[in-house]
Amino acid sequence: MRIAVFVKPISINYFEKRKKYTKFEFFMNDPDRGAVIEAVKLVKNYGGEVNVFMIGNEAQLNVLKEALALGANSGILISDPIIENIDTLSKAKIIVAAIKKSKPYDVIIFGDTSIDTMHGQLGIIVADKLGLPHISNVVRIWNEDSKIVCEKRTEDKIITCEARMPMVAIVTVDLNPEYIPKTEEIESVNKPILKWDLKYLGLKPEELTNKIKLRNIERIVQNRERKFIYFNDYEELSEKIINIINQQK
Amino acid sequence: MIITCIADNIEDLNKLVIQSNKIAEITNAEIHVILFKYYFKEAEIERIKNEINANKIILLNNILLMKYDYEAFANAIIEYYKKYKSDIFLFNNSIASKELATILSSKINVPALLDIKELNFIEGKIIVKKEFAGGVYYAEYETSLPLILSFLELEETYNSKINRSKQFEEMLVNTNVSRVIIRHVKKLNARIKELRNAKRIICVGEAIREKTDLKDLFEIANYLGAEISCSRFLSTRRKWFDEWIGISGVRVKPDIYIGMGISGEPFHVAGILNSKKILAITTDPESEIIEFADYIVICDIYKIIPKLVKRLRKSIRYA
Repeated sequence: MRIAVFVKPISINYFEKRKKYTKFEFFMNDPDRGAVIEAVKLVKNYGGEVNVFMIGNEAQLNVLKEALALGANSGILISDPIIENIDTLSKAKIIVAAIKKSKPYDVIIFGDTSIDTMHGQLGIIVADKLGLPHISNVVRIWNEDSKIVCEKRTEDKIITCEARMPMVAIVTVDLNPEYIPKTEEIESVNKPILKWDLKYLGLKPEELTNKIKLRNIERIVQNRERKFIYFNDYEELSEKIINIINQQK
Repeated sequence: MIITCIADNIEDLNKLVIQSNKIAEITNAEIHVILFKYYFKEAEIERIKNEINANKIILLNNILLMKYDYEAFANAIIEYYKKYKSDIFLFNNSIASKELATILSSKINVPALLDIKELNFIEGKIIVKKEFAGGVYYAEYETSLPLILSFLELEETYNSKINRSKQFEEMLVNTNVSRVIIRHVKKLNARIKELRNAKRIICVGEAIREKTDLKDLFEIANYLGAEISCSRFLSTRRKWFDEWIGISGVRVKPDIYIGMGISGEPFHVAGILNSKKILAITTDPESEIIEFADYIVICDIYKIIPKLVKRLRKSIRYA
């Protein structure tokens, strides 16, 4: 089984707490990490290889290496100066070109959303542009003969469904427990990483658009009291907590 | 200009039309509503035809249109789009509708911005505000028509000055046979509506170690008249609840939200920011939820829970 996984580098600047755990400026989008782990598991069970693709630049290479440390066989960095400012439809165009440039895949896996922009569209658009069936919101995935079977989660249902390969699976962050390889594991990765640009993919910059331009990012400000409740013993605290609750109407 | 509303339930469709009427006051747009037979009962279709304030109500019909086959629905909408060049497609924000919106975006090559907070028309530009980075930031985007949108929250009331003609049209549409086969559908006991309407909510986090520990928390919730739910981890990994609170689950707006051992990941916190008051009870003084709380209790959760049970039992006895 040949599996392609797409990963996105996320800037640590909007996720302050993570600075404690990593020295890198970028980390792998969480649902994409689950996708890599799942792809590696599928290949362990059914044979084959996992290729990981990333649109990004050299400064974000640790993200691709992290995927390789998780067990993927090789990485492909798609890099070009124009890529910094393009919309989801254009990103999908690049990914479609990259898939077509490679040997055919049986399964292509995406994380369901990027935790920064939270657009949640890329996998579905790529499936449509490639003319492949897709299953989204996947919380469980397995192989049966020429089919991929998935459990898909909606607001109030779990739907078991199947699609013939080749297909696209879009997985949620719940698919796999969080496991982030250690910095040393990432840095010591010695697996092949290819570097492709738009020219290699046969794309021209004018074919890529940016119909959704990011103008500004601001932190939500909330006027909360932030009042610490101090106490001498737990009897007293229980009374204070119940009083607070009963004061609210 | 045409605004086209598409929803998978009548309640959200009503809200979409209200929202569209508000946008139409600025843009002078016509409002169309697309219906699929699969999603609405005959009586609901009749109600929509008579009551909804839209210029056109269009029923897209094909026997092959099956629930969960969003590609087929998107192909049906394309048939409509060939006839009426819509400028804004407005979807409700259910998982199903957002998937349909995204497939449509790909097929007609029109960008989609989903779960948006605000839409503004400023000097010929369209400015959209949307949550970013787990929902504790806003991103502002500049874009142009045509556009596919879904709003995080829709207007519930708006008195439009225009009484629209409500023309009904049925279109037989081409579509495809689904390539994804549904094997089984399991209904979950997700308490979505109850949580959305709850005045008091106790939300359980990872600091609660065993499922049996929930017994006391259910008792506290019962005494307080509160709904009880959890963070995503407890629902999807430990399977303690069929739903969770957060922007990927249920967004809540109670009078008071009580976080019990909640760490406060951005994706969770953003789903509780509409709470009037937030009470965080946590063992971890570095919990992210503290930044967003009105009242903060740093304590041993396993010591305070039994005390709360005891005190509430006593107070009920006296009452």
